[in-house]
Amino acid sequence: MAEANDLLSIQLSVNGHLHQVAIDPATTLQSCLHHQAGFKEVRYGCGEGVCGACTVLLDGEPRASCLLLAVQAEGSRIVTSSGLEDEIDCASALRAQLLARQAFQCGYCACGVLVSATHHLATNPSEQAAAALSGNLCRCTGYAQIIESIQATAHSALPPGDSPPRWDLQEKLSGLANYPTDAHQKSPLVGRILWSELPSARITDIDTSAAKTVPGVAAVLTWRDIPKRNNTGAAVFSADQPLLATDSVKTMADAVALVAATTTAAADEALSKIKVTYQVLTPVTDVFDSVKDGTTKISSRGNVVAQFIEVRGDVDAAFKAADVIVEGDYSTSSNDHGGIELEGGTGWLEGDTIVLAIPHQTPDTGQRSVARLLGMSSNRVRIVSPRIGGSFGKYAVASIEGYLGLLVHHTGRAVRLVLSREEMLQRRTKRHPSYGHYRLALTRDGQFLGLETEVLTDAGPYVWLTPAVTAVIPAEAAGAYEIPNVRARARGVLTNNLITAPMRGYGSQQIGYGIEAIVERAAHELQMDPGELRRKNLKTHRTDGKGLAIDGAELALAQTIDVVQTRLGPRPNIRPGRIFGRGLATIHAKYGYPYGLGDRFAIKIRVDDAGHFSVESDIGDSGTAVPNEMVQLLARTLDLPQLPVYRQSQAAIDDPSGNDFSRGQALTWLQRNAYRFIEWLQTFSARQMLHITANIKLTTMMKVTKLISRPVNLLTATINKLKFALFPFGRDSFQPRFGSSRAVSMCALAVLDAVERLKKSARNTGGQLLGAEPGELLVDGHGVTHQGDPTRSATWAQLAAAAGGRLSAMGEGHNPDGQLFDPATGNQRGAIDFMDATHGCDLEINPETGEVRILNYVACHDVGYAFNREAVRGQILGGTMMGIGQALYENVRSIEGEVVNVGFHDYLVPTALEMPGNISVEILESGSGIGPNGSKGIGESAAVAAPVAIANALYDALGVQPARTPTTPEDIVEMLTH
Amino acid sequence: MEYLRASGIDEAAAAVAAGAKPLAGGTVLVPNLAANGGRGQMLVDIGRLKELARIWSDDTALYLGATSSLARIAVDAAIRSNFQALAEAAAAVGNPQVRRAATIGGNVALGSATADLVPALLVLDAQVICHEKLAKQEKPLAGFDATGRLITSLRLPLIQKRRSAFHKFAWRGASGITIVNVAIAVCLNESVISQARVVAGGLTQPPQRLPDAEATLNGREITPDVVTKTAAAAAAEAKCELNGPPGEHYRRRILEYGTREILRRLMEE
Repeated sequence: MAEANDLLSIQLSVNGHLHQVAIDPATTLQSCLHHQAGFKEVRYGCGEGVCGACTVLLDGEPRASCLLLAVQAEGSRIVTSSGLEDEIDCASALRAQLLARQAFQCGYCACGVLVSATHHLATNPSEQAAAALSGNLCRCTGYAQIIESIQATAHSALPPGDSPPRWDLQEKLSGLANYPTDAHQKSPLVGRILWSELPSARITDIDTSAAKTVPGVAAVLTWRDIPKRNNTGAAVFSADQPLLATDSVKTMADAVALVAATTTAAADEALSKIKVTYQVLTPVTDVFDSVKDGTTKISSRGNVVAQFIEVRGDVDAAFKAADVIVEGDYSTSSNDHGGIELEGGTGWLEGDTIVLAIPHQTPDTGQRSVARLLGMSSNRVRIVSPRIGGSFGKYAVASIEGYLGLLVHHTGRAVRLVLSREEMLQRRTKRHPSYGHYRLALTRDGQFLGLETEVLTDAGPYVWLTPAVTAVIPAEAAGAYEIPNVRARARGVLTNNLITAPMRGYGSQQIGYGIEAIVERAAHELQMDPGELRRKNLKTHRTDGKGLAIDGAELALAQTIDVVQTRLGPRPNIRPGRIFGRGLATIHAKYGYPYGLGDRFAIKIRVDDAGHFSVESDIGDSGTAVPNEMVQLLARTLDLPQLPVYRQSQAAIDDPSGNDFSRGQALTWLQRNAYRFIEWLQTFSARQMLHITANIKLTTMMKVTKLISRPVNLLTATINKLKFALFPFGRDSFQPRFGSSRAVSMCALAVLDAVERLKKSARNTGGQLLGAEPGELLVDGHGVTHQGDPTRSATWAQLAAAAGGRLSAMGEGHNPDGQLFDPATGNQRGAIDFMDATHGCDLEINPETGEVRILNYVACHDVGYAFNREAVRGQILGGTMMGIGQALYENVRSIEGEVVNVGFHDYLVPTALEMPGNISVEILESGSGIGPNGSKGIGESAAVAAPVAIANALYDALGVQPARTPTTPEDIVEMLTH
Repeated sequence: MEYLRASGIDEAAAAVAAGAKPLAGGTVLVPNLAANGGRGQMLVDIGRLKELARIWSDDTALYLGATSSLARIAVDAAIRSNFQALAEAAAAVGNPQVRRAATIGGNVALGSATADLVPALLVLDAQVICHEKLAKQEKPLAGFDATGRLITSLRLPLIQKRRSAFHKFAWRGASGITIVNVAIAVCLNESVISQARVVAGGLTQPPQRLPDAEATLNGREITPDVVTKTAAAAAAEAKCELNGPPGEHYRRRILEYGTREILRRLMEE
């Protein structure tokens, strides 16, 4: 039966008002409230009562509204987060605390958390807040600032006043924020994807005839229905996955067909009636098998898709001269990004333009890839990427734009395609698992002499962004240390496992784990204090585009170790029957693009004739504070009386070169294509280079890198010069923009640049207006004033009016000059800036069960300069919690290429109960960063440091080193037994 | 999908006899419905039947209405003082939102290997009171099949000088899937155990009684030696049909640990 159930008319009491709705009786209360009654704050995350995003008060008690049918709630009093103030006295005080402490980031979970937290405060504030919140998952914040807010409200404490509040949080907490999976159109068709049944098979037939006859079905699509280019992936580098499988499937993440229908039931029935005939092939699921000679080639060009090396000094001599050599194998697991919002959105037609409301970090590349898929001009595709309920790198590559675009194109109707949590876990991108071997040579007194590492990353069957992730590994092989002799190699390898995407701290995360594990091992073998060993070998300066230390850019790595060790103090007494462990990890992890790649961010400041300021760019909001930082920096710099508004500009998204955006006029055909040619040339040459070098021997590779470094440097420099000359303002279309840690530095630089230009045009306009020389005018938050005669002044509104209704200025932040490769060695010059931190962890283990409790956790970060301390803390706390998840809980488990996790009940994102007993964040401000005031990116660093800090504490406790993440209680018992 | 809001127990029981599923907390039923649109299903909503949500007692027993929520069972004073294992089991399920929704009847009807309340109810000799069509019946929980029957309440005999406790092991503090759980009840005559019940969940479906472990307890005082021997007996005799990960070896170890922890607690009381 594909027919929908008969509709029931019910009355719900929500926030004191009665709502009459007609619903299918199988509708959950969450769905009814969110989609039909318009209470957007009641959000969906898991559908199984684990995440709590849908929490409402039902007759005064927090309940998961996804576990209730709407009809069950008839006659009950429902209160959503937006009705709390009328219901519970402490609600507004708590809300104020949460805002002041910036307790949320992406905000998707916020309204559900607010319900649980308010109820907790009103009923039993003396009990542990963590337990009361344990039915609400938050992936961004690590819960600490939420719990601090609850405690502060309970004690009527004043909120901290030292951090400028985030304007976006008000909207997120009110439930007004718009996320991709919200309803954007009335009664859209339901889109579904038929996924591959096998990790590796030939397809001999796809029969959709029966599916097409199901009543209510609007489209059943296969690869034959794709008008132009059948591909998806990392549009910025390698979109090498067919959007819909043609004659084979290489992963369970391959899609075979798409369905759109009027109801979910009809769509499901149609899916079940598509007959796909497979011829089973043996999957390659192990990276070590994959690189063996004679293994099935997953791609015609071989299974190794990228090889990067870093070779300096004489490693063999260093190992001969060493007093001590330590060696270890460490691997990092497959992880899900775990954002609470599901991957999905709605697409519709506006005239002949396809509009897609989906999560995307690089909407401009998404637009172009849909256009290529459909064989249409890219100005006929719009991606509106409102707030995203958690990204963490996932949407730096393709999301569902191709699937949704194709369905909208064929049906001509609005289509809503939202993947289930099970689909997200089993079919979508994961962090690159890595498998590394590490050897470290030292003198007896702990001087590092040499390092040798060999790492494989598991890409899945398609390249996507694997080279970018893998390239970081050898470049950062030495971690935070000066090691004179290094031989490091990393290879990206194809398997029939899931597809991969960058995830928080990509590359740095994988190599950071290995290097900090081997360093800890060295300390253990030398019986030396781990902090002491690290201090002896630390890097001291940030380096410039030629690899030289920059004066005044002293790193604070040693201080981070000192602070953490001081804060941890002497080893504590431990309960009888428990084993104590303490671990450290010091990281120096890239953020930003490497030297030599023209990474540019552009923003625009606009003043209207009412004197209101706005900031525009293509940057959206996935929970990072970047848009917020931009408006606040502008307000501070000009001393504005009112906070500017931020707008994600469609013009900025549409035109990757930024020219249209800056001049307000369309690019010529020639300009547009010249820009695309340059981009194509960059990617094409990089891809060719990877193909050539992927499978050569290390010794040959060394010669090749030396040989090519000069010409490649020359090529990249020429391309950059050309781009900068042809397109004076621009944003490279190479990179994810808003999720990345560098966005805040780059955007801040762009704001400062724009402010200077704005001041100039204000002086010019003001000069004409006041009959003065521009140089005689002072600019401030009110407008311009004559320096000799303060009575001669013009407000911003007057200036804008005089300039024709608006005054605007564009600004740009870009990479400093530098070379991509060191011509002397052929090594990568590396990133423009690094995040420096030390994490320390005290934990106890129950040897009977292997259970771990983190007692005390200290994270000390050199952030360069903190513009907003609470925002910085939030990033560090959230990254740490994600690291705790990776170290101890989270594991995407596959059996022969098939993922077995089905939901948030068995993919263990940490709850508030997994928080360390005590967690403190220490912020250092060395001023050594590349951003304004020497600030640095921060978002990814804690997620790099935390997993290995915990692994090192386990090592200290057990005397055996964890070889892979996560270390489960079962592993611990095993380690204790052997 | 057909939805019927029952106006009384008889109506609900008749619907269940006709193939409808009773709907109350919905923690398992609703996610399944949402996944398949409820095609071809009949649901009878028993959530409004006040008589099913009562908790009451007489001289001989405690009665728990089938739709009593786990959140309420976890904090109910009478349950916490006389049926500790049940209160502890209820507190160990899911997370606060789930415990407010989930009902004891649902937990029993599920019959899942990891249903946390079942081992506790088994050691407390729970009887299921149910309606089969219009006939009221009382059946022992062990071997109970909920198909076609509407559970209306559970009867827990009140036994003087009985102590019980429950231990659940999962890898996350909330919303954790039970790896192993174990419930123990001992009736004491002076300080000597006259009757012991040991039931383990998470290893088999349904949870299993462990007679060897019970035998090591019966007729003895709880001494450290008895604790060790009982735990070892439990780990040795348990059937382990649900495996990996974690593997059987680990699950047995946890069963042994859990048994020991419970007995230590009982010994200290």
